[in-house]
Amino acid sequence: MLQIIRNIFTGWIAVLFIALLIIPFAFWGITSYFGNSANIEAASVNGVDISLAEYQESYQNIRRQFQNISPILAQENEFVKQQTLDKLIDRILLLDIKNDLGLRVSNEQIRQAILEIPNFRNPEGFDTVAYNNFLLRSGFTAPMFEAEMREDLSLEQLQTGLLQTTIVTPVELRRIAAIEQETRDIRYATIEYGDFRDGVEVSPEEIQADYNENSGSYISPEQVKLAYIQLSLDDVAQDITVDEEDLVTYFESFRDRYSITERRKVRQILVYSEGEEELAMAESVANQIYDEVINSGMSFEEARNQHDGDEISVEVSDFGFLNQGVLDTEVDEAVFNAEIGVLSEPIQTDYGFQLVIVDELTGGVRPELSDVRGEVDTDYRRNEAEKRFFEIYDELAVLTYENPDTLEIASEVLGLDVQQSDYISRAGGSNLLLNNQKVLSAAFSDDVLIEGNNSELIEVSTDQIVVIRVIEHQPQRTMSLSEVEDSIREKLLFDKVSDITATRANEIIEKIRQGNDADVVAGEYSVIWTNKDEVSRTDIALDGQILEGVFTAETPAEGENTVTGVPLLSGDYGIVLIRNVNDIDPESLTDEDVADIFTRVMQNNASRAWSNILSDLKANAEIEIFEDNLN
Amino acid sequence: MSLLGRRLLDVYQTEDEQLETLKKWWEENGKSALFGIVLGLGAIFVWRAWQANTIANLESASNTYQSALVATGFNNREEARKQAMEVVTNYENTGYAIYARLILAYIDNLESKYDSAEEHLKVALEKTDNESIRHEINLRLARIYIANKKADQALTIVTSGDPGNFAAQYNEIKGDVYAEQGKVDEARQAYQQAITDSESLAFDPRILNFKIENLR
Repeated sequence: MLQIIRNIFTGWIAVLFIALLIIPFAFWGITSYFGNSANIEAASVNGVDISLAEYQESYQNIRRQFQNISPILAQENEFVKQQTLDKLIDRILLLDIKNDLGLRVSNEQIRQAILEIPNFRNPEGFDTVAYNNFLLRSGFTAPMFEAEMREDLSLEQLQTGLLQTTIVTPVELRRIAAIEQETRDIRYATIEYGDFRDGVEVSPEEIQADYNENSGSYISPEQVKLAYIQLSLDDVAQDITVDEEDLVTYFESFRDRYSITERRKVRQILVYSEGEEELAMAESVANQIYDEVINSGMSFEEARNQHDGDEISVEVSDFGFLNQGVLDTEVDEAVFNAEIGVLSEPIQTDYGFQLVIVDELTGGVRPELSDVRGEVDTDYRRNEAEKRFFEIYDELAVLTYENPDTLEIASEVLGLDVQQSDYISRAGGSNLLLNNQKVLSAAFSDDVLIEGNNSELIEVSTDQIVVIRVIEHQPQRTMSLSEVEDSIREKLLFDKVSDITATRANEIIEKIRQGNDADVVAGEYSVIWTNKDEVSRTDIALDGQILEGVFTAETPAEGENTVTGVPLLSGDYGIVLIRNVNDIDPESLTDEDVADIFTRVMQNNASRAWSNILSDLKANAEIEIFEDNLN
Repeated sequence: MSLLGRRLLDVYQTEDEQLETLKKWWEENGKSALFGIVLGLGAIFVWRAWQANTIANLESASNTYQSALVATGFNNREEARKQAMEVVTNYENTGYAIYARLILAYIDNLESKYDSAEEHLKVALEKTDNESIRHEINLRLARIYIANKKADQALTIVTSGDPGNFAAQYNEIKGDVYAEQGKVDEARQAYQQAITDSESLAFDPRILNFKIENLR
């Protein structure tokens, strides 16, 4: 290629060409030519990579979320994995559409959203300290976090904008409302399980036969009993003794942490200027207002009202108490250098001109130990405990590794109790501490289960560890007949009696369908009809399964009946007879009638639309999942 | 790089000679080098300014659109319409204009202004490239057609083209059109198909079942 350049570009053209080539390097540097190629990928979606680190972080978050809803699901690795991949893949696909459409939220929207996050708020307003701590903990810089917020908020716009405009036409709404409000006049009867139970026997032979046939499903899973030592930071903290002198030293070195941040109570007048043209006008209005407040002693509101008719809009706001760093830099500086009760001169910002006044300030005090003793004590203990925790952690690791066939030695040396669990299967048991995927997979690992060694130290949470060994093992086995006899008998009995009720009900239904009078047939079988007019779909007085039967039954022709059978979970058998269907004319419904169902139908349509869009996007995307990297 | 380049690298030249060569080179080529740099810098600044301008434009479209969306959520139709119209007129070439039209169609529908709703959806459709979003807009348009007594046009939408993953909803609307036209058997068949199509998607087919039960 260089040869070609040589041949083609000579003289001044070549020089021009080289000069042009230099520029990108001067601006973007050579680094942009080398991406971070060492990344391991979890998946790739339309050529966009999801890094393993990103996957793992998201995996942990999702698991934590499910921990609150369903701890059992949270332990299902495959389930959490699928949820995680779905979420990450959906996000990339949606970012694609977002970029196609070119959606982008503004800095102001991001600022608002961050200000509204509950974790960053305290009673006085935005909590800068909490925000900065969050950034520190999560390893974000402020611009990174803002960029992330921009993506999230743009995606939210994409979704809300689509779903909130879902169309349900009045015609469709009326039709659905009419269907929902339709009622039916019915008769129904039940053949009761209890009436036929007596005298039905299940013989031992039948039980034996069922057991022989189905023994594959009477299985008790592989189980183990564990001995374990646990160590938690809280326990260690309890045992820390606090020496007064150390406490004072600790307090002195972390004094700043306990000082109360200065907060200032701020009010402002904002004179908006939209674009260059309005700048001069806004400035002069701002100066007038400054004059009106300072010299004529007007209140902010009065000053604003003076300029009600102006082309420039003026806004008065009361921010309450603010921490440093919340407002725009120029304004923030003015506020935190201002004297109390003195109005600032107009400050030019992106919005226009702002005048601020500080009414009051709190905090900014350095406390004495006696003021915050409780807090310092807790922190000190925790700090000391952390050191101690890791010392014990190391000792425990060594002692349990060097004595792989007992926990007793570690227990004696470190003064930690050895505890015992009940039987636990791979799916977990009743012990909450041990109901942890890491513990369970260690318990059933070759090293622990077969070799009989102590496990490694397992972190069940960030400040709690456990080491386990198996003390009893019960392999998977088929349960004996005597263990399952009772439940088999119950099951067979239920089947027999349900058959009887079903047979009787079907005889009755058949006779009525042949044209026999329903009352006469009922007399023959000594069942009693219950009449009910205008049964609606939401009738709660009626058994749910019967109600479903009422509305799935065929519509009878004018002046005729239809009859249908409904097997019930209780073993009873229901018979439903439809006498008449009371139609509603959609045109007769008022707006109020349909208003009730509007939201519901709209949400239904919206959520269908959304999952359609997601699955459609997925179907048309090139998705590659690197399974080998995920396990 | 030409003879000149090679001469520059000539190891047999003395320093003075080299300096002389450089000077000569500069006299010959200095102007074009400077010109190249200026041209390049200019291009970059223009490009950056253009980009900044595009972003600023987009962000202010976003702000206006967001107000429209919030007003829609509060069912403040007048305000929503006003803000959405502003997006459509002032930021015509952004994605927000498409989205604003969806808001306008939504409000038009609530107020039974079907002709206008049709118009907004058609434009939105024209300007949208993403197939999945197009499906959703198509479905909305079909619903409006039914309400606007244009059953044939609705039917054309739901019967032409590949339905992608939206088959269930296309079939449901097909059923609605047939039901509207009193073609009970065709309607039932379309609804049944819609139920079959939704099975893998974990939808509650209750409304579909209602619609079938209600056919007569």
